[in-house]
Amino acid sequence: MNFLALKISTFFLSVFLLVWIFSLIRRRLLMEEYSFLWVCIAGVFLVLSFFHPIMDKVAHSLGIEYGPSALFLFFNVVTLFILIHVSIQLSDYKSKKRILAQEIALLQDKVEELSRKMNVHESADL
Amino acid sequence: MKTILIIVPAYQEELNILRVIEDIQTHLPEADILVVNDGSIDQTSLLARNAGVKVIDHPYNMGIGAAVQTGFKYASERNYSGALQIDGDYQHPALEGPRLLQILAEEKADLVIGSRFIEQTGYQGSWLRRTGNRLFQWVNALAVGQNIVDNTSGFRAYSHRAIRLLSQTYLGEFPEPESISYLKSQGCKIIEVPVRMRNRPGGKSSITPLRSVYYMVRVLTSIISFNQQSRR
Repeated sequence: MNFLALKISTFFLSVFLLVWIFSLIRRRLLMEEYSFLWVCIAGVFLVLSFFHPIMDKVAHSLGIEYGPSALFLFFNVVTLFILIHVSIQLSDYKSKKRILAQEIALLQDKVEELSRKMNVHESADL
Repeated sequence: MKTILIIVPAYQEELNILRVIEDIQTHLPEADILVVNDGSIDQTSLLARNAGVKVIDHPYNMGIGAAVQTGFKYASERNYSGALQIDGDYQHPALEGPRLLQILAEEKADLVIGSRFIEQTGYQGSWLRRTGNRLFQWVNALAVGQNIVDNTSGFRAYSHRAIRLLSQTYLGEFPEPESISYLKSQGCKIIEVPVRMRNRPGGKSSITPLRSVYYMVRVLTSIISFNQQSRR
């Protein structure tokens, strides 16, 4: 097995991920609070690219024969948690958006009512 | 200030809204009418305004749950002593409204549901809808401890207390079954009364056969997972 190729590709992948995330934050496309998990993942990738025996050890202690399988499992679980986290955020935004829209609708009604009253006063003054 | 507010949630109901309003004005002349236009892009809002009733327009379509909640917020702000929900699709006969309100007052109830199934009232509905209702009935009876036959009926009268509670609590996109378990968990008194409903004459129902399975799963999920706590 060519571990050097694996090391190099993982290294470049994690560096690419880190650079991308930092540039997204710099360009205000990604808020820092949401980048934390991604930075962690890129970090884990980076560490594993240098010390892949860690991966094998972890895999064996979990009873998984093949190191990279453990990696797949790990990232699948992490992705699942990130997706749930995003769903929670989405629900939160949706409910806040609903409250705002309802407030706008109710306020618009009050504005209409007030301007109607003002018009009545104005025409009474004339 | 009139003391009863009729809340009419309406989405794309230009074919029905005028007769709904007329029906209400005929049978409930004492009450104020509020049409909550849930982001319709047809003539619903304009027709209702021209008919001289109060209209609140949602800036975009948010679902029946948000529409009735806007109605409750309006009623709560203006301190109405009771509310009657009549859907904008002309299924609910306003003729039965005074009876629901009378029972609300006489029995000091917080929610009076106009039920299609409690007795033979002529309403049939699809097989799927009846099966779905039976399922809700069973789950809600377990969760709530009261047997409600028609959990999905939106033809209801609400007390001042129920208005206040529901203005602060969003019940999701399917508010009818959820409000039963929510109000019951708050110690509210719920009464079910048989009514005769019409079949939809125009426009299209939001519930198609395929959707009702989806609807059932979602409602059951929310009834099971959320009974007690209040949401904004």
